[in-house]
Amino acid sequence: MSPRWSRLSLPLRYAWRNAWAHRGASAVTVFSVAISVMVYVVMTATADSLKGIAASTGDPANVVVLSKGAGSAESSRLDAPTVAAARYAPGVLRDASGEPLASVELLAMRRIPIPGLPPDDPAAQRYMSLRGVTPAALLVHPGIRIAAGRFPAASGELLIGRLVTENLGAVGIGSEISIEGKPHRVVGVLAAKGQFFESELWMTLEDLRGRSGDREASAVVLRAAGPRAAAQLVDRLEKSRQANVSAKTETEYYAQMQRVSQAFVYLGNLIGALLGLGAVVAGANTMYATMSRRIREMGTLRALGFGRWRVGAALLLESGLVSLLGGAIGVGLAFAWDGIAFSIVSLSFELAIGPANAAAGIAMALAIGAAGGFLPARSASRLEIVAALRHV
Amino acid sequence: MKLFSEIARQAPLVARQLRRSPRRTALTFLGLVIAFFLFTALESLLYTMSTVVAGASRDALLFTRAADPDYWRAQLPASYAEAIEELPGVVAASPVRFFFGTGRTEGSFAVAMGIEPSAHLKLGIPDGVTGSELRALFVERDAALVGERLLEDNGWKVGDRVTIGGRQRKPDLTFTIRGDIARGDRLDRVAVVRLDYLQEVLGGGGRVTFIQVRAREAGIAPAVADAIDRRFANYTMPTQTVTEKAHIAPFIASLSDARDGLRLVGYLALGVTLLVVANSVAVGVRERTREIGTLRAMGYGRARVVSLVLCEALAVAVVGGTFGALAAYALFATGRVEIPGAGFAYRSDVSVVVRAALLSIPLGLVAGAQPAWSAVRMTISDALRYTE
Amino acid sequence: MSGLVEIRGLYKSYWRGASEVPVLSDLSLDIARGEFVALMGPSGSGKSTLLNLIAGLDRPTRGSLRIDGRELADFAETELDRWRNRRVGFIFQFYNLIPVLSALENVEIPLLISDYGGDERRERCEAALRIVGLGHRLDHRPGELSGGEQQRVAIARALVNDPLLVLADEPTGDLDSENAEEVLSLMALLNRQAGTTFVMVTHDPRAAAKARRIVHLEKGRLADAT
Repeated sequence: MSPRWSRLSLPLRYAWRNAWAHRGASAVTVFSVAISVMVYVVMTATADSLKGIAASTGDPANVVVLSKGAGSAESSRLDAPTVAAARYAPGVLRDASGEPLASVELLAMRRIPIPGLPPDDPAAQRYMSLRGVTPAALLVHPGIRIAAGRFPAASGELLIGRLVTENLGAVGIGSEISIEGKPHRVVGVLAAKGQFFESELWMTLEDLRGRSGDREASAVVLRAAGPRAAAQLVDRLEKSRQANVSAKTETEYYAQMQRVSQAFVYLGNLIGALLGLGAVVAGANTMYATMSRRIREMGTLRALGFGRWRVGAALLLESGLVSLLGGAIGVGLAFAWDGIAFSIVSLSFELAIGPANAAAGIAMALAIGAAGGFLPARSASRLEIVAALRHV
Repeated sequence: MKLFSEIARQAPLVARQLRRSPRRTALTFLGLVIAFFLFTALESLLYTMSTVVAGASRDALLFTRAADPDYWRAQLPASYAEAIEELPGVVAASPVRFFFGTGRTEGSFAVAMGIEPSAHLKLGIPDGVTGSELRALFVERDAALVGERLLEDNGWKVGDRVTIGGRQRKPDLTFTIRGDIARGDRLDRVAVVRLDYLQEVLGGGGRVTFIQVRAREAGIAPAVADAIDRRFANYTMPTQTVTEKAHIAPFIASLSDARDGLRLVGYLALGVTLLVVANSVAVGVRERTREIGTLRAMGYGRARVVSLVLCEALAVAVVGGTFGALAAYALFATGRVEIPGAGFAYRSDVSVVVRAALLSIPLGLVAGAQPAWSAVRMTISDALRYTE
Repeated sequence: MSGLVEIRGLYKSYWRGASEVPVLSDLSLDIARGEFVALMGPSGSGKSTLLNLIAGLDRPTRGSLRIDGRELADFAETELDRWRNRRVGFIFQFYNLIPVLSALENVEIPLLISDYGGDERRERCEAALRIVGLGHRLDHRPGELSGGEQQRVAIARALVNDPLLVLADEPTGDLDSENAEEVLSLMALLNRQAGTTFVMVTHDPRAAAKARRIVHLEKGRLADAT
C-alpha cells in the first residue's frame, strides 16, 4: 500500500493545502513563530554556553586556595607565609625535582584600551581579566596549551587567550597592548577549549605585582592526585588554623561563576515568552479567519460522520504544521549564529547551539501552534451541524 | 480643520468595522500590546544603560584615587581633600572610605561607605533622606543611612542595630540604622556611616579609598582632574582622577553586542506585528468587498475608501501600541525591574515611551497600505459581484 | 421491500428566544428499501427539517424515528456520527465539496474514518467515480469542474461507503437544466439498477417527476401521499 493511501496522508495534505490556500496569513504566522524561536534558541544557547564555560573550566583534581571569606580570586589576598603554607600542604603533588605542583596567581580586572584606537576614549576600552602566573601554571592547569608562540618570560610580555580578539580586536603575536600605561608585547596565544582562561591576558607574576613589590597573591592553585585527594586537601586546608584560608576544588570554584548565565536564562525566557505570545496571537487570528470561511465545509464533514473533535483536530493539525514550519526556519536561522564569538564584559565565548536548544525551539513552536489553534479548534468542534450546513 | 472633521465623520464607520469581528480586533489589539510592551521594555533597558554612561550631572563629579591599579586597597591620605578644595574650579572634596563585608547571610555582600557628613553633603544629598535622618548622622557617632536595597537584601529596618561582618581578617562594623536611602539613588545599595567612626573601627591611619570631588561644571571637569593629579604628582602617593563616566564607559561599551541584540529583537517584534495588523486589516477588507463596492457605487471616491481603511489600521495600531508602551512604562516606573546577576535596577523615561508609542502611527499606516490599495483596486462592478 | 424508515408521531420545534416555533407536527411516514421518494412543499413546510432528522443531523423534539429498525433517538452523538458515516450518503444543493482536495480525495473522505484498508479505499473511490462517469477526472479540483461534474463527484462520495440510503437536499437547485437532467437520471439509474434508496427534497416539479413517489408537506404535516 503506498503512503498516499495511509490514513494520515489525507489529513496532512488537507492541512497543508488549506494553509497554502491562505498563504498570506499563514506566512505571517510562520514568520512570527520563526522569529520567536530564533531569538529564544539564541538566548538560551548563550546561557548554556556561558554555563558551559563555567562548568568546563577547572580540573576536579585542582584545589583553589583563597583568603578566608573571599568570594572570588579578585577579592582575595594571600600573604607570603600563607602562600608557602598552602604550597607545602600535605597532599599536594610534587614534580620530578620535589617541588610542589602549585600555581601562585594574582588576578586583577583592568581597563585595557583597544589597540589602534585613541587610548583616551573611555568607550574604546574594555575591562579584561589579567592573571599573573609562573610557569607552574601550565603544569597545574592541564587543559591549557600554548597554541602559538611561548609563555611570557619577562615583564612586558603577554600570553593572550584565544578569544581575547573578541574584545580587543585583531591582536596576535607581536601586537602591543597597553596595560595601565605600560606597553606589553604579545608573545603567545593560549588555548583552553571552552574555559574562562581563553578570555584572559596572562603575564608574569612579578609583572602584575608591579610597583607594590609585595609578595602577595590572589590565589594558589594546588594539584592533588585526583578528585578524592583534592576533596581531602580542601578539607584539610579549611580546617587548618595556621593557614587562614578558604579552599575549594577548582571545578566548584568556577561553578559559582554561573550567575552571569542566569541573566540570560531570565531574559531569554522572558523575551521568548513575549514573542511567543505574539506568535500565538498571530496564529489564532489566522486560524479563526480560516475557520470562519470553512464553516459549511466543516458542517459537511460532520454530516459525513466526522466527530466534533476530529473536525477541531483538523484545525489544530493545520496550526501545528504551520508553526512547525516556522519553528524549523527559526532553528535554522539560529544556527547561523553557531560558532560565532561574543563577549560580555571581560568574558568572551563562542556560541554553541546544541541539539537540546534546537529541540527546545521545536517544542516551543509546537506549543505556539497548539496554543494558537486551540480556541479556534474548540469553536469548530462546537459547531451545530444544521446551522453550519446552512452557512453562506 | 478639515482633517479632524474628516476623521470625525469616518470614526463611526471605522468603529463599526472594528466591532464587526470583535475577536479579530481583540486578537490584533492584543498582539500590538504585547509587541509594543516588549519593544518599549527593551528600549528602556537600553535607555538605562546609556544614561548610566551619559549622566550629565556626573560629568562634574570626579573620583580622585591612588594612581595604583589596585587603588581599592592602596589608600589615599584623607588630608588630600583639604588641598583639593583649595584648587580653582573645585566646589567640594569629600574623602570616602569603602568597607566590603558580609551581610546577614553567608556569602552575601554588604558595603559600607564612610563619609565626612559636612563635606559630603556639599556634593549632594541622597534621595529619600530627610533632614532629621541626616541630622542623626551628624549627631550620633555610629548612626548609618542605609540604602533601601541593602535593607531589603538583609531584612533590616530603620532603627535596627546591625553588623556588617569583616572579611579577610578585618573587624566587624556595627551601627544603628537611622534612615533609609530611596531605591533608585546611586547609594541605594550602601550603608553610609561616619568616616571617623569607620576609621576608628578599621584602623588604617587616616587613609581613604578615594576622594569624591565636585567640579563647578562638567565642562571644566577634565581640567580640574588634571590639576588635582598634577598637585600630587610628586608625592609618595600620587593620584589619578577620573570622571564616573570614564569609569563605567568601558563596561557599557563591552555590552554593545548585547545591546545591539536587544535593539534588534525589539524591532523584529514590531516588524512581525506590522504584518499581523496588515493581515488582519486585509482579511476585514476582503470580507466586505461587496460592501466597499456598494460604497463606491454610492459615490465614495477611491481616496475616501483608502482613508477609511487606513483609519481602521491606525486606530487599532495606535491604541494597542500606546497601551503596550504605557504598560511597559508602568512596570519600569516601579523601579523594581532588575535582571538577576546584572546588579542594577532599570528605569524608563517619558521620552522612551513617547517615541515607542509614536512608532505605532507609521506602523498603522504601512500595515494599512496594502489592504487599502486592494480595496480600491477592483472595479466597482467586480466588487459588487465578488464571492469568496 | 422491507420498511427502512419508520416515522411515527414526529414533532420538531425550534426555540426563538422564549417562544417555541413548531416546524413538524405529528408526522408519520414509511419509506421502504429501494424507494426513490421526493419530499415537496412550499418553503417553511419543514421538508428540509424532516430530511435533517432522517439523516441524524438533528434530533426530534418528540416522536419515533426508526431507520433499519433502530430508534435514532437512542443513539449517542458519537454513535450517530458513526452511523451517518457508514449508512448514509449526502448530496447537497451546493455540492459541499472540499475545494483544496481533488475529486478522488473528496470521494475518499467518508472512508477515512471507516475500517477499510488503503487498497480497498482506493478501489472503492475509483469505482465510485467511474460509476458517475468521472473516471478520467480523478485529480481535478472542484474549481476545475463544472457544476454538474461537481454534483456527480458528490454523488460518488455519497455512494462510496455503500449507504443504506442517500439523502439529497435540492440536488439540482444550482444546476442548469441540462446538468440537472444528467444528475437526476444518474440518481434514477442507481435507484433502479442498484436498489439504492433515495430521499430527495426538492421544489422543482421536474426533479420530483424523476422520483417514484412524491410526498407533500404543508406546515409541518403530510398533505397527501401518492
